[in-house]
Amino acid sequence: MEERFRNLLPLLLFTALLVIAAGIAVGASGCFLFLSLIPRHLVTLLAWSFALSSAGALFSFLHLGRKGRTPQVIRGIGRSWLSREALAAALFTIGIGIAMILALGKTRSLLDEALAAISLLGLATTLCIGMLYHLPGQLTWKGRLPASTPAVSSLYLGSSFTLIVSLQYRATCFIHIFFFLWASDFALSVARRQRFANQSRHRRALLFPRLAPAVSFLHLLRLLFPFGVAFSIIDEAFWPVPFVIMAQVVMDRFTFYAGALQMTPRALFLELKDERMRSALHYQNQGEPPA
Amino acid sequence: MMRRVFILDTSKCFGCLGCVAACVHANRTPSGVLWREVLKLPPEEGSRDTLYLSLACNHCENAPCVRACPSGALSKRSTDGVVLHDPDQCLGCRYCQMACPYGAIRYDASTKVTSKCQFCADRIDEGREPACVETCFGGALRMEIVDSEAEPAEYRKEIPGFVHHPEAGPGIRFLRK
Amino acid sequence: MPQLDRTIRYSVCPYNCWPVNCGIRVTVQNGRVIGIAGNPHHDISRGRLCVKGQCSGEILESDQRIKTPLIRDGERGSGRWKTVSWDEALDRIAGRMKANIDAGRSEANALYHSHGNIVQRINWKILTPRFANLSGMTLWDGNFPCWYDVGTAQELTGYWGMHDPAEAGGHAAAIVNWAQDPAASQANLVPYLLEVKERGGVVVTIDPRVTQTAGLSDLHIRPRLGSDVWLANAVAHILISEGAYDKAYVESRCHGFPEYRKHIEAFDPGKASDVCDVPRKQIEALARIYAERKPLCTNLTRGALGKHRNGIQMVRAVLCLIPLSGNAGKKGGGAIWGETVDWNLALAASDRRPAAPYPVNNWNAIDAALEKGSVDTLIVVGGNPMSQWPDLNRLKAQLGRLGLIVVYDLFLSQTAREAADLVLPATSWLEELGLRTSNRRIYLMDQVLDPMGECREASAWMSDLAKRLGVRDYFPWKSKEECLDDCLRSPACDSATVALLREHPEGIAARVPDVPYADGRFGSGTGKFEFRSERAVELGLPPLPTHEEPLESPASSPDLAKAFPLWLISSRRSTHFHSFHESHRHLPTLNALEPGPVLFVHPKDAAARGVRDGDAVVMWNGRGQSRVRIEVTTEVATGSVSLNDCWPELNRLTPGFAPCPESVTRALGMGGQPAYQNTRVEIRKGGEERP
Repeated sequence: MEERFRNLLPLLLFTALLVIAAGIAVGASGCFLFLSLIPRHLVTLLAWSFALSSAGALFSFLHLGRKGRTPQVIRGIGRSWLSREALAAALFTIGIGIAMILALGKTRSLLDEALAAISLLGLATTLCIGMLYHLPGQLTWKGRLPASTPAVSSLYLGSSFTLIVSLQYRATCFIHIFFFLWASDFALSVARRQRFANQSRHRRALLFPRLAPAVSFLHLLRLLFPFGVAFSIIDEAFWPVPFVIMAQVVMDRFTFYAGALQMTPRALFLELKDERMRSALHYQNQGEPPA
Repeated sequence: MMRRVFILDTSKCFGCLGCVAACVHANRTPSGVLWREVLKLPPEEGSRDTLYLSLACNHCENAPCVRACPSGALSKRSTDGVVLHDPDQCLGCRYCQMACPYGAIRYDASTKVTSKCQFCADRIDEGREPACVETCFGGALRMEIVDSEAEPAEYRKEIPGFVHHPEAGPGIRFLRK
Repeated sequence: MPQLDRTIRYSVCPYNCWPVNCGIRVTVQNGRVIGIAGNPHHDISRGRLCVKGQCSGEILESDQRIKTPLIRDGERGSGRWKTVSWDEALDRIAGRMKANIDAGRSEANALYHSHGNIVQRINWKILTPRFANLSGMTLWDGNFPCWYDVGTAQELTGYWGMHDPAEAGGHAAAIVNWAQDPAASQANLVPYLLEVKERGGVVVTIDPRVTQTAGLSDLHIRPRLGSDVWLANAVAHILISEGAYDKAYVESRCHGFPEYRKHIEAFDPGKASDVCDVPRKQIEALARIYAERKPLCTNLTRGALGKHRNGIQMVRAVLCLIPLSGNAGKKGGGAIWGETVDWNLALAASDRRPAAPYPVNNWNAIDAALEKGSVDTLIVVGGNPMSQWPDLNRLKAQLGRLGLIVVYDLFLSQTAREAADLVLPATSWLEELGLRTSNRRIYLMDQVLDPMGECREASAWMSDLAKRLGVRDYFPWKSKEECLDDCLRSPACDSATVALLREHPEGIAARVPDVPYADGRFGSGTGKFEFRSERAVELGLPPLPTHEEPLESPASSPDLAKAFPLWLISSRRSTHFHSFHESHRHLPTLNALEPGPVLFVHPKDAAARGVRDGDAVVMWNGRGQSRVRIEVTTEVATGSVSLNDCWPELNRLTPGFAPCPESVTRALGMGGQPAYQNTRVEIRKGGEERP
């Protein structure tokens, strides 16, 4: 595997796992706070969220060149989305732990507040993940729309939990919430596919040109997933849905990193060269002077 | 606001790579790590207008790398706008590499931190020129301190091959006949 | 922080870029070199240092330097080596050499030295030839691949004196770079070109490729490969027919002008335009520059034009334009290229060389000797035949039949790895005391470091080897300094001594004519500039500059040219100097800039073969094949590809053909350059897999 892509794998895993963990936490909190989810099930879900979030944090830690300096990562909180993301992820993970302890306890005091807090922290983390990649020169990453993807994915995942649990109660608002997020997720995946299809004509800016065909294919395949989810629900097979969404999240992170397009001066020079060489070829073949 | 910029006269650069070597040796960069690069655009068929572009860090006005850096290893000094990297604070997270729209930042697997052009801060503070400027045979590469509110009209911010991202505000200007 | 133990010493850059030979200033601390910069007092380089010079310190730092003598521990080319002592190594060499001498075949012992040994001029000009002469060995040197046919043209014409580049920069109204690309090869010349332009002068480039110098030039002419005689003679045609030439000079100081004039009548500019594939307007523009811009300095090809079947004549044609346009013996005129300062060459002891049928330093003779087995022992000193000689597959087979091959070098070169039995560790240029010159001044190459490991300078082990062969007086001096002082006892250099040079980082002026041929006396039999060369007649060569088709061209070999439709042109890039230092694989910065062979291909030729920018291709012809990566670029013309001459991938394909017969070399002492530039190839996609 290409060295540069191998280097991005820890980030791929970190972001995917945190988006999923945040989604589970939001979903579990919603189910408990609004839909009478039993504490035992809450603890199970929180445990999964905690495990995935911790694993993600570990990958992120392993990615650093100078691991001993990790605590300094939050020094840039005033200006760096990475600092903010690190802090949010850390507080989120710790928060899940606290919520788990509270959930295991006899009383319910503070549990509601804790769940609300971790839901917000989880979403804050996903917003930071999105904003982190809103960078000039990154043709497929920049923009508020791509930046909203992680948060929307988390909410979408969370709403699949509340959907499943709400079915016992016929609480239609959760069905509406779910389909609103289903539609948002679908729209964003169409937009992402369009953006990549459009920008990938800048072949020289592709960080991973050899992965481009795979990325294009996966973007298309991704569009089928919402339909899969819809048919699954129509068939009343609800349990696969969260797992399908989790698979989507991983796929989205793969296409995100593998589809990176950075129009550096080096890439732009190569693109201009390609144009000049095409023009020269045309001139040679037709005997016409170059434009 | 006074800021230090590179001025590149593209009609004089002939791609000798002297600036790249001067930088490596003046700054003792890790083996094989080059902070400056020279890009080449071959000529239109039938002409000899090969374009060479010598680029390192552009010490942007609103440097995306400084905004991005979580640990504060990257900072912009107020006196002349030079963006400095402190390897002792660097986490090696490489986020700055993603943030920089110009590909100016390098990562070395042996030191596990990033590095980039420092505008030869030590030399310029002694009143000398950056190593790349000092060595330039063609007189193509210069350094100047300009008033960002009153720049000379002939200083172009963009040429084919170099995009001036206004949200970053790179400190490089071009002269072209 | 106190700068204790920090000293500044002066030397010259360890690359041989003529005519610049840039001075360097070395900062030493605690026995280590901590910085190399330009010598601001040097008359030509003036403190500037190109990319290679700036990276030269990386030679010293490389852990790949050979530090002990090595003997192969397995088959040739196996890559396994054992350390031996100098005594053992020299005993082996002496043993083999003595066996050849005793068998009455002293010519079977051969020594080849080249650019690695030219770094130290005294080794190149005196000490290594002295060893070969006193021991009675065949002596071959890197002049033949580099420039020998150009030298032959000069010898036939009587034109040797080279002008000073700084003078050209300061006085010339025009500089014509004829098959020269200083921007790539000698970047330190560029400020002089720019100086000419700043004064309103013009810079011309004549080269089929769009070179870096072409980008700085006011006029760029791209003649068909090998058609330069037609181009130069067409310019002469215009100058003569318009009367815009120096009549007085050609009548008084030149020989054979009437014959030349008659000869030129056939080189009509309209016909030249067809032959050269150059628009007539450009030929006329070039002639106008010769006619109107005075003085005009010719940056004379130092290798490229000589590497053709018709090399001698092409250079003769260009030389003839110098007096024709009134630029001989004029300040800011003439030609620039090489050094002209001579040492005390008697010390090379060529008069003491025992008689033997030594194969001369001419490719035809060398190839024949290797093919016939006339050579048994080959010592390679600072040279790299398995990368830089032509037709490498053939050479490999020939070398395989030799009894003993010894390589003296800094790193394990291609030759060392593929062919050597013994490898001797070389000192770097700062580990040896030496001398260099610019065109006008003499400089010291100070010894700044102790030799690394068991490295020894060439004259040291040659002295020991000579003793084993019964030569007692190879090194009769008490010290290297005394030796160098003796080498300086020549008419040009006798005002200098090592001690004096050490005190003068700005060098000491050599006694050479400020403006060559200001007195109108040329180095030919007639004492005049020979348009018609009498020496050529004696040697059976054309007396006037005539055109001959390049080897392998569509006109000369149509079938071959059809099978291999692309010219392979060897070129230069800023980052390499021949195959020095294993094509700079051991110097990290230069290696990062060009880590492997890159073939320039025109977009039309690439598209026709379905290959794209960055693809790996196989390049081949009847002599072999090479794997390279391509760069699609308009810097080459259609129908030609070009490769940096530092890669052995080039010479797997070049023809081992030298147009100049041995007889010329016996008479003139030069000639026999292979026609490297007359190579046809084809390319196809592929070659990702290693053999």
